[in-house]
This record gives sequence, structure tokens and C-alpha cells, in this order.
Amino acid sequence: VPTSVLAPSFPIARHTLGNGLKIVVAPDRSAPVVAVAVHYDVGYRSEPEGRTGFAHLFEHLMFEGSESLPKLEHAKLIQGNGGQFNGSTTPDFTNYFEVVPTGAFELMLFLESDRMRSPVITDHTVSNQIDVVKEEIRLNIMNRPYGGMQMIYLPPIAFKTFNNAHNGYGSFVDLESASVVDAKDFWKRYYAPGNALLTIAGDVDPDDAIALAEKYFGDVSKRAVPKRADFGEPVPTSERRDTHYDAMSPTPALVVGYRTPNAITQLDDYAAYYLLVQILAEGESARLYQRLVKTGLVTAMAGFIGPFDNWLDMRDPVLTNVLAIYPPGGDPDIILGAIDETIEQVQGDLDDDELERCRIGATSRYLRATDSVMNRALTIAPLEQQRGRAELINEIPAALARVSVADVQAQASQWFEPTQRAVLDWQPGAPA
Amino acid sequence: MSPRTQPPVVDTKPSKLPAVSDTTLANGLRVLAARKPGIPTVQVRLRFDVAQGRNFDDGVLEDIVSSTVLAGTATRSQSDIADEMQRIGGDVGCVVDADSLFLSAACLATELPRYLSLLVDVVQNAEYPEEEVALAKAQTEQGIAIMHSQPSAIAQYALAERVFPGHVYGRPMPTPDLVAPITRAAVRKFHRATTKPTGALLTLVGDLPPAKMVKAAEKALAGWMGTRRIAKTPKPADLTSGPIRIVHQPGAVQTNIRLGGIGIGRSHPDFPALTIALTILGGGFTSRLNHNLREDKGYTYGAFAGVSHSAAASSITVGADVQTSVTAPALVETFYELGRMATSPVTDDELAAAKRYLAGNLAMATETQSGLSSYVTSLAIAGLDVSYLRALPAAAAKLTLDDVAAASAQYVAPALLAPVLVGDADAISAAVGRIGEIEVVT
Repeated sequence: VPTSVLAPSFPIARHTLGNGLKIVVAPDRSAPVVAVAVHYDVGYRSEPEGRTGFAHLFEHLMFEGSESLPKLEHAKLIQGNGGQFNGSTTPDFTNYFEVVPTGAFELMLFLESDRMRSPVITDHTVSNQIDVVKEEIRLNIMNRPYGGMQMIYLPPIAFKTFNNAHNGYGSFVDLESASVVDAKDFWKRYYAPGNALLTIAGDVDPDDAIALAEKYFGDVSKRAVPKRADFGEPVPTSERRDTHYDAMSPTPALVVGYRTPNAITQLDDYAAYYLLVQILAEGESARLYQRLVKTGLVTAMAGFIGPFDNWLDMRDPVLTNVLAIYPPGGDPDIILGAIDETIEQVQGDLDDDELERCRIGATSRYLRATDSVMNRALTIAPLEQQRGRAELINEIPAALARVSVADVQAQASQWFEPTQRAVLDWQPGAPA
Repeated sequence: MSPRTQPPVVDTKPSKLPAVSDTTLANGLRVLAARKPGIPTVQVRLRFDVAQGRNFDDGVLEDIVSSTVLAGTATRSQSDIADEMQRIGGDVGCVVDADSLFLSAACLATELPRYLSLLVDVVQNAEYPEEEVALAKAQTEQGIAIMHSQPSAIAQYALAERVFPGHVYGRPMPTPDLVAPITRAAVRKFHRATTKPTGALLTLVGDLPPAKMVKAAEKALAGWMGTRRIAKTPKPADLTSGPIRIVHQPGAVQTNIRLGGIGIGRSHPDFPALTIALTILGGGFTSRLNHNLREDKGYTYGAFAGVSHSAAASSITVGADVQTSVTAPALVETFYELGRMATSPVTDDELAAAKRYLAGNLAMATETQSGLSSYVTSLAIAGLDVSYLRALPAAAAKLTLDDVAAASAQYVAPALLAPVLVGDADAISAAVGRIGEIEVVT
């Protein structure tokens, strides 16, 4: 039984500009650094057929110049002032973020507003970034054993609709056909200020930060905000399975995908489900680690929610991924059987003590993940953008503490039937 | 549309450096402790020098030690340790390399005493149960097989082997056949010889007063005794010149280009200038290499240059992973950027930006408990303390164009770096052979 709940207590301020841009500020004056993040509410799930990988390619193009800034100037102004930056494209959002010494904070608002208002996209930047993205894909997927298992190859087995099933990195054919016109259309449709959230964390006064945000973003033209599509799909009623061959992988592997409760509308269930995944797969005391790795059935395993272990960053549908690499000659059905048995054991035999230590472990990791202002901003943003509640950053530990053994067991019964899963059988070499 | 005026950047006063208490316990363990508020956790680092008795072939033994050190003690099973770790909000990882056995961990601040008790049980009484060692050996065998199909890992080993041939820092990638002969007795012997408190370093950084953390350490570790002779890792020989080495990977869709050299440590008077030179050459997105190879040519997802430190040497690494068909032109551009650094001065703007980049990065890197504890530890290993976090940017701020040119000429000239390419030799040898003499290895 939880005796105490350790939780952060970050203050939250929010404001919406006339053009619809939402702003969240989480001040923390303890160190002279500020993180700024802009999340656009469009990810690779929104790409149309024939344009796979476009959301990610567009993320690259947003670094390539804007109305007041020639190519590379954006990056120079951040790094040349002691800051760091990056961007990422996920199923449901595309984000851009930087962390800088306090004195460069205002400049960051200038940079982000300039490219929100008016990115400059040219034939050169499009063709150059197509090349760069292809090297990114070669590096992370094609020239790497086990590359893209849960991100690229599991979704088309688990899902039926193009939006959920397709490859978010994109096919080379689709990438190569991308044009400046496509990019401008994409920007016009999805990068309206009303479709974005500006998050500021760190060494700022919230009122000052909001006033500065108004100064720089206030005159970005208001545009129509696209209606957000519902990507929901029914949960499978019979097992879906396929085989992928990878010449670079020396031994076989298995990825099992399970659906989850609605991550937005069923947050309490989702918290119980999250703890179930910790009980199954987090660390060396986890049930699946003990059952699969300690017995020598598999040599390595992992289990996490979302393609990037991003359980609080996605709307429905979401996949939990259980990955296992096993010795040559192993039988995937024996491993699947062991997973099924392990789930059944949780349904019949779980006590408060095990749940409690998993909760403490999860809470400790959660707290540590919010220690840097950058990670804090990136944690807050989807909570606000997808759930309208940045304050959840402080409330997640309590949500985990409310979970009971019966709640966890109910999740184990509801989502982990063999008929509900997708199975990716990963084999070395080439098809016979 | 017309360009808008950029707002000015105001100088940022760096945050105060934390006070680090430096105590040596009665058992000879050095304890560094610093308060870093923010989250209610403590970061713990425990480092043992393993220089003594090190063998060139011990790489796989070290892997087995690191993967089984937490697999049980006289009184705790593997799952007891894992359960207890979770209960105190702890996470622990172990890395064993040619220099050290290094445990890196975190726990809830309220649980520090319990955590330290667990840690000392592990370092004193790790049992390496037979079945756990057997399991780790099976996993290591497969892990090695997988490593042999990872181009980035192959490149890392191949470069180390080229720069430090015959030295422990230049061990080749292990092969699976090295696993079978390893015995539980050898693993235990390695552990027992290494994990003695005398000369070891414990770092504690978290939201507790340093005195309280040191007291907790004193109490938990009181019964832990033992000394050993510490031998230094031998200094590697100077880099020898040689052909461009191609490590053949049939059918590879990319080539991992790496150039390696021997650098200098953090205490060396040239280090600030070398750091600035490497920043301009290959530090971060705006570096010359990334600008040229990625943003101008589209050859790579990223190009980089940097320096890393081991106990007896520092290494300079320059690299990029490029599409197979552009391997030779990408190597030409890399040589061009290295040559330009070594023969022409950088610009005033580049120098000013690199100085601010360095200062800012150090501030970010020490903003978290985890980052600060890693810095406190690695600085102590180098014989430095946290004042270095101010001294380095201060020294860099005084550097002139001539200083950077001199460091570039002395450390990153193309003639001083050894090139290694991991890629499809059949596809790249002809073109690369036009740049310089090549040797192909498999």
C-alpha cells in the first residue's frame, strides 16, 4: 500500500494568443537555462498515401531557413549562443526544441516564430534533405541489425489502415518524389499557429515569457486549423502474424504488439496498464525477464509502450511492443506460449508488494526524466496538446499510486489475449 | 516579407558551482559529495581502477563481470537484488573496460542508506553463481555475434585497433570462441582483485546535504576493508602512419568513415585550444564537417569530431556514415576540412561562437544530478575538480586565432590521423585507392 507519493510540483501558467497559438510556461529559476519547444499537432500518422515519410522530411526542412534567417543561421544562432537543439517526428506530433542560457531565451522565440510564420523552402533544400533523410534511414534501419523492428515492421501487421500501418520514415520512392509545392501545402495545412503549442520551461518569469511570446508570435497569421482525424481501429479478434527477413541480423527475433486502453480518455486504466508493462518487462526482476531470459529461452528482451518508448506522447491507437532476440533454431511459438503463461500468472497471482516496488521504480525513473528543463518541456507538451492538462506532469505519480492489484489484473485480462496480438517473426537471411 | 531584426542576446551569469566535499574514509575510499536540489533522488557512481593484472585478452572476461556482478551475493539472489533495487527507486548499470569497473546508479534520496548497503554487499560479496555465469556466457556469445553485424561497433573497434595497436585500448572486437574458456573462478578472481575500497572513488550527487551523504556512506561501508596495489595503464605508443584501412563488409549500403588520432588530456595546456578547434571542425550541427558533408552535399546524416579520455591516453575521432557510392568524395571532403583547419586560420565569428558553445554546453551538461555526478567523477579521475567547469571556458575565452591554428596543426592535421573505412571494399576500393594507398582487411 503506497505510504507516500513522491511527485514534482512544477508551477504551470498558460495562455492562448489571438491567432490560436497555445502557450504553456513551467518556470524554474534554479539554473540559468531555458528550454523552448514548439509542438505541431501533426505527425506521420497524418501523411497521405504516396507521401510516406513526408512529416519527417518536413521537420528537416524547417531547419533550412526562414524569412529572416538564411540556411544554417537558425542552428548557428542556437549553438553560437551556447545552446542545443533538435526536432523529432512521432505518430501524432512534430516538435522542435532548444535549450539555451537564459540570456538567449528571447532570441529563441524569434527563431521559432520566424519559421512558424514563414519557412523558406527551395529546390536545393528539398533535394539536399531528401539525401540526408535517406542516409538517416540507411544508418538507423538498413545498415543496422534488427533495425526498425517495432517502428517500421510491426505496425503493418498490427494495423489495417494506412495511417497506422505505414512506414513513418517513408519509402525512398515517396521521398524522392517530394517537391517544394508539397512542402508549402503541408505547411499551409498543418503548421497554422492554432495547430501548435509553445512550451517554455526553466529560468523565466511566466508573465514576461508570455508577453515575449505575444511579441514574437502575435503577428503570425491566423489560419484554419485542420480537423484532427480519428485514427482509431478495432482491436484484432484473431492473431495477425507475418515474417520479415533481415540479412544483417545473425539470429532470429520476435516482436509482439498488443493494444492498450485509450491513452487520452482512459488515463486511469492506462496508468494501470503502464504498471502492468513494468511488472512484465522493466528490469531484471520483471516477470518476462525471469521467464524468458533467465531460462535461456531468449538472449535479450525488452517491453515498452509506443514505438519510441513514449507512453505519454500518443493518442489511440497505441501498441505495446515486446521484443525478444533468441538463439538460432528457437521456436517462436514456444516463446509466445511462455509470454501467454506469464500473463496468466499475473492475472492469478500478483500482490501489493510487487506492484508497490514496480510503482516506486517507475516513479523514480519518471522523476529523473524530468530533471532537465529540456526533458521537462518535452514531457509537458503532449500532456497539454493531447490532453489539455500540462499539470498532469505533477499528477502522474499519484495516478500510478491509485492503481490496485485488481486494476492491473483487469488490464492483463483485457488486452493480452493471443487473439488480440500482432506477431512479427524476424528471421535472419533471405526468404527461401 | 523582409528580414526582421533579431533581439540581442544578454550575457547569462552562470549558476554557482556546487560545493563538493572530498573525504577519504578510514577504509581508503575517496568520497565526493555534492548537493544538487531539484528532484528527490541521489546519483551514485563507484569506480575501481582495474589496471593491475589486466590482460590484453580480458575483454570478454570484463563483459561477463559487468553482466553478472548483480547476479547474487552470499545472502541475496539475483532477483532479491533486482527487487530491492526497484523498491528503493534504484537503477544500476555496470561497465567494465580496460581501465575500470564502474557502477553507475541512482536511487530515491530517502533510500540512500539502504542503497549503499546493497551496493557494498554487491562489491564485497558478489558470488557469480555458476548458473548465472553460464547464462551470461550464452548471452555474451550471441551478443558478440550481433556486434559483428553492427557497422558502428565494427568501426569503433577497428579504429581503436588502428590507433592503439597491441595496447589494451586497441583490442580487436572479441570473437564468440573467447567465451567458452571463461570460468566462474576467473570472474570471481577478477572481481575480488578489483573491488577494494582503497583507491576507489564514490561520488554522491543529489538532493541531500553532502555531510549527510558522507555520513551515510561511512555508516554503510564501515565493514568494507581491503587494499591493493594500483598499477597504471601503460601509455600507448605514438600513432604510426600507414595506408587507408578498409574493413570489408560485403554489400554494405553505407561506409563508416573514421579517422583517429592521439589527443591530449583535460589538464594539458593545449586542451582548451584543441577543444575549440574540434568544435569548429566537427562539434554540433553547425560545424564545418557537418555543413560540408550534410548540409551542402547530402552525403551523410551527420559528421562529427571530438576527443574522449581514457586513463592513459586521449583519442581524437573524426567521422561520418555515408552512402557507399559517395565514399571517396566524402573522404576527400573530410581531408579537405582537416587540412583547412591545419593550414588556414578559422574566422573570428567561428572562434567566438565556439567559445560560447563550449561554455553553454558545460552549463547544460551539469544542470542535472546525473550530468553533474558524471562530471564530478570524470574530473576527479583526471586529477581535477569542479572548478575546472569555470576554468575551461575561461581559458577558452582568452584564445586567439593563432592559438587555435597552432592546436589544429599539432593535433588534427590530416597527416596525424589514421583513416579507417568500414564498408563494401568491392564497391569503394577503386575510388578510395585514387586518394591514397589502401589496405583491405576482413
